[in-house]
Amino acid sequence: MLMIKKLFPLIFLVLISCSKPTLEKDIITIGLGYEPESLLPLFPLSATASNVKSLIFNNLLKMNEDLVTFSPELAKSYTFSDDSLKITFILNSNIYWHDDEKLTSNDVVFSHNLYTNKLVGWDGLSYKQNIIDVIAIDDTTVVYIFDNKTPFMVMDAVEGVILPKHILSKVEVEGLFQSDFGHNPIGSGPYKLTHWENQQYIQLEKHEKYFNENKPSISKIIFKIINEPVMMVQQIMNREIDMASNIPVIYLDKISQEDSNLEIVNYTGKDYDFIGWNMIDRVSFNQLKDSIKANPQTFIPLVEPHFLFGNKRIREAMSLAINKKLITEKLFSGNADPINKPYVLFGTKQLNTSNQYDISKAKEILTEEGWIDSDGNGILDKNGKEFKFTIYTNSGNIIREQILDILVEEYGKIGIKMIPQKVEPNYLVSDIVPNKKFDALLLGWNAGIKPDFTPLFHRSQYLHPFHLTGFYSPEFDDMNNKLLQSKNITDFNYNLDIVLDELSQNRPYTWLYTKNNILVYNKRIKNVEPSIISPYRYLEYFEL
Amino acid sequence: MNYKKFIYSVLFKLFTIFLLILLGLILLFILIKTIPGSSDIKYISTAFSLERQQELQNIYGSDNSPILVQLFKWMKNTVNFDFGHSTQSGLPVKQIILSSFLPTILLSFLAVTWGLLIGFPFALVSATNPGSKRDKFITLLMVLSYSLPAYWIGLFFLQFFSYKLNIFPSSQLFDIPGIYPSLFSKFTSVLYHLFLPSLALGLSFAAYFYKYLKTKLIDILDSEYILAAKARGLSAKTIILSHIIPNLILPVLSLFSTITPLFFSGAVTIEYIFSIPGIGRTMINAAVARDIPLIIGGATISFIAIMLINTFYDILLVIFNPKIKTEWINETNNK
Repeated sequence: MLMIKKLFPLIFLVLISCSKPTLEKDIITIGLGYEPESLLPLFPLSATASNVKSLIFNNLLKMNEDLVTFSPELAKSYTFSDDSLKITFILNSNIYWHDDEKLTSNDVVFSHNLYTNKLVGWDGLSYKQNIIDVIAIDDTTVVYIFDNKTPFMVMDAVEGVILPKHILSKVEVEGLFQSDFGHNPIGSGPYKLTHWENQQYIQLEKHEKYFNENKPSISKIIFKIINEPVMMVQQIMNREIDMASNIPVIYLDKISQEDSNLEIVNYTGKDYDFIGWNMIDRVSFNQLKDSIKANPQTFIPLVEPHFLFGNKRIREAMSLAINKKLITEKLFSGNADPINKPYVLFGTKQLNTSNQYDISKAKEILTEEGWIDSDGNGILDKNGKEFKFTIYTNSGNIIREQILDILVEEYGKIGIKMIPQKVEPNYLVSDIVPNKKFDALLLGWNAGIKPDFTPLFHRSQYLHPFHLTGFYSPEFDDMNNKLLQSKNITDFNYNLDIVLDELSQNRPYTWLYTKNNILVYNKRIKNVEPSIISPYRYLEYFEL
Repeated sequence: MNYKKFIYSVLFKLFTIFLLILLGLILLFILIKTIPGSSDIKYISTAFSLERQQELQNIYGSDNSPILVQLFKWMKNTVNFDFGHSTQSGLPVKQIILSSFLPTILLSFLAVTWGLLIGFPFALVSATNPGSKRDKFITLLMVLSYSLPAYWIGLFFLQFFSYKLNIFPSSQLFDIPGIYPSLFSKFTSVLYHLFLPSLALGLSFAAYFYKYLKTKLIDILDSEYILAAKARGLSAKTIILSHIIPNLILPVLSLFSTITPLFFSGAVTIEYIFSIPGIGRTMINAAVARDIPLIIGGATISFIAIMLINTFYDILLVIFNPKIKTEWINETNNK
């Protein structure tokens, strides 16, 4: 007993002597909601992993805020050939990998070959389809040769970070995913990974041999993994972390009212949510699946339409009955904008954020299409069939679950019975979606920098699970092909407008809203410039 | 001769446990295989053709070979402690699980220590003063501790000690990496970080211990050898140390074998709230991401660990209780 009595104060003293974590000079601590699954750039990474990756690796050029022009990064300059089918990049001569090996144009060629290797299956492969070859002329000169002239040649060439040949050439392509590189990456970027504690921290340290004249000013960056948004809010208010992105909007008022040392920045995001209408009959689709695989052109038109959403006018009525303004104001406190067309980031496309909520027009269309409440039970019907449909969304997404509640009420007002279903995401993606076991889906996508609607709406992708709605329009397919073959920016913008109009008129989706991203940071950090490209853009030049 | 028989009975017990583990693993395998949907493999991108996606699913994800072949392969790999690679991170499952086990074991050990430190003295006070005001007050406290879920207590601790008083860290297992001059300083940091979560979990255990130990203590205190000890004029301290505690070892061992599964399941919410990289949090993340190799690996190792720990308790019980030892030997002889 005496020993225990003596030990207690000792234990207590030891515990109390451990210093409570506080923000340190020269170190920035950033809260991450999820642990990056890997930092191997060859494979599809979450936004969180991509943001960390962007500090470790470099591209040939850095994309500017307008998403069209580029600034020097690994390459100090680039020139087009006279026929505009070749781009010559001149690399900086003093670039070193984190293990002190020199980066040369051979690494650029190696990276291109890896990205285009079919066994790798890089998700940005479409960027490289117009590139015939990449040739290293000398250590600092590399030439990209293109098949066709397009407005995206520079973007296509510089997409994908440059990877170290001296390390990855020793790994079999099939074994890349399971290789150590994903958790011990060697890059050429301003920061190198020095520590990765499972589900705890990722620590980056300044790359002393970073090629840029402006060396990183912050010596260490620590990413702290905090799964719970409430804990994230508490820790940033408690000075345990400096910065956190994607804080739920419900906490923003509390932060701004209770902590004047924190800055809240709202910036454009890439995510948008939509309702996808199943335009085809499930039974007919499943019967014709194999035939479509063999001969899409002949068999796709034979798929029977969905009894409700196969009709364009019904889809229009469904869209008009949704009060998008109510959703963005109620659920996002204004941190989202209604959209009525596919969301594109490219160029100077302006969002049409008008609400387009017209419940009487929706009712009128439904009546014109023969949907009336003939038996007075409050639900529209036609030929003895009630206007009843099931909409699925992924469980665990509170906002989407709340939207479904709003929609039940809104559709109820015009005599439509909507049955909301919240299911486990993997079950949704692996069973409900590919087998078309739904009438409608409430989901979201991340808009790519380069607009390409092929995976979502083109007939060539008809059987792919991401081709959600069974939309088939030869006119759209032609327009989309034309868009992808545009020779210059003016052409591209013109064709893009046509494609967007076509899609918004056909309404395979009802596009709902695009969400703004939110970054909260401690005011002790200066030069913070979050952008659609990354919340930690130019982090190497932050100052404390 | 008796010694030899005992060793034989222990080996027989271990063989029975092995068969149980085998049966349990088969059931576990069937259960996991019947879950609808496929493993979500992070790196199978949309850039692949559907055929290539299927090929990769076969290589890295759900196997399409006959179920018995899959079971045989799985058993073989389990014996080799090879559960494949996580479909999310590509890391070996073995590595992920082993790194997650240590924090959970440490958290559970500290929680049990808290449970005993709180539960035993309270049980002693209540048992020695049954029906008194002190007994009633302690019982009320323990009922409260038993009724409040550990996560609620955890959240309260976070709010009060971490955010209001700012004296304990709110998350993670230790401070920023790379700042520890020695292993000891890192260890003290881990203890400091586990103080609140282990206390939150320990309070639930304390209520269990209190309830169980109080009943046992009342029995012991009513026994003749205690009365004899008192009659001989032994001090209270001597009675506790020489007579009560040794007689409590067996009940406590039995209790431990009952609550062992709670070490793995009960700590889940606490690990999540305090961002502790334990097996519970790892398994939740794996389940959400449908990382099937990790789910199978985690469940298998937890199951085997629980079975082995319980067997260990059983053997300890036998060592401390000759009566059970005789029962074991007789049971083995009969078979």
